[in-house]
Amino acid sequence: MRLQERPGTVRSRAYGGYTPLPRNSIVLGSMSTPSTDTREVESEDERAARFERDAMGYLDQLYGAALRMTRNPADAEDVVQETYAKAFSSFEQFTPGTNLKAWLYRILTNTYINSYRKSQRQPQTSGGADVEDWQLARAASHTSGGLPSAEREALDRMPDPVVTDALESLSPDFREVVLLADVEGFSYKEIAEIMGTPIGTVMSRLNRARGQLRAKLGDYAATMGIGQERNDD
Amino acid sequence: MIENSEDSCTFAIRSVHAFLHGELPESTADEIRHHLMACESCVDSFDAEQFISALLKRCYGPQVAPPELRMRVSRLSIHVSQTWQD
Repeated sequence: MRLQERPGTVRSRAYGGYTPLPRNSIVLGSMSTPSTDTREVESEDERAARFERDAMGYLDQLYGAALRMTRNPADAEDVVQETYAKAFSSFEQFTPGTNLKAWLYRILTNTYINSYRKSQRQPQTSGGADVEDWQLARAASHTSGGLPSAEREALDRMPDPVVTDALESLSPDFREVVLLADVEGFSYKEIAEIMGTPIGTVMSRLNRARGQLRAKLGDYAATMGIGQERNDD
Repeated sequence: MIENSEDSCTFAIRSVHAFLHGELPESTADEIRHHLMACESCVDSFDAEQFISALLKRCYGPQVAPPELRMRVSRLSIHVSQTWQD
């Protein structure tokens, strides 16, 4: 390995300060590398075999995600089947070597939104959509003082249906962003690609969604008489 | 409360999810770690948020697709590739 320094190269260095996130530069990053593309040389049969080999491995995960979206096994199966049908028929457009899982999730999300969500009545959206993030942050930083281990203890004892009900009471976009980040474990960049939004939107949705979720879980804890002892309004 | 520390609490709380999801540049994450060493109430808050993430994972555990769905889905490509076996 040779060490070569091009003339004029400025060595980057930590200034001990703030490095701003290079947000917009990485949003739509998945560019294809034009070297050797299997799609140009494979037959239709080979492509089908490649689909089978690469995409089928995500079936369980996609089914789980569909189940969380539709909350109903029959609908989840339909969404997944439709997703795979679409993915299969447009597999030629998928660039080999890029993120197949995110690509499939994107199709799944769009399928769900277009075919199912529209036909359903929207769950009641909790208020506060027009609350600024800094207000949320401020509120959180000011109320967290009193419920340290008590809140933790309350969360520890939280039954699963309380948690799932709380999440399901959020608006669909908020629910989705939390599931993608916390349950599916996608990066913000991947979530941006899946949801078709800029990363900044992912971050603000996540902050608001998790803020609402924590408030709801806190309400439950309070009605159960855990972690209260606070009465400031 | 000193205005300055209130600002850094606001900044820390505002960045809590990006921090816990490992999405912040190292230098920003270091600033927050630095703040957390000095601010107990933010540590509590970070703990609670991290715990909620774990709770969500627990409540939405892995699922297994029904075998019939697997059959139907893989038939999509088998149909084309004719590679089926007994």
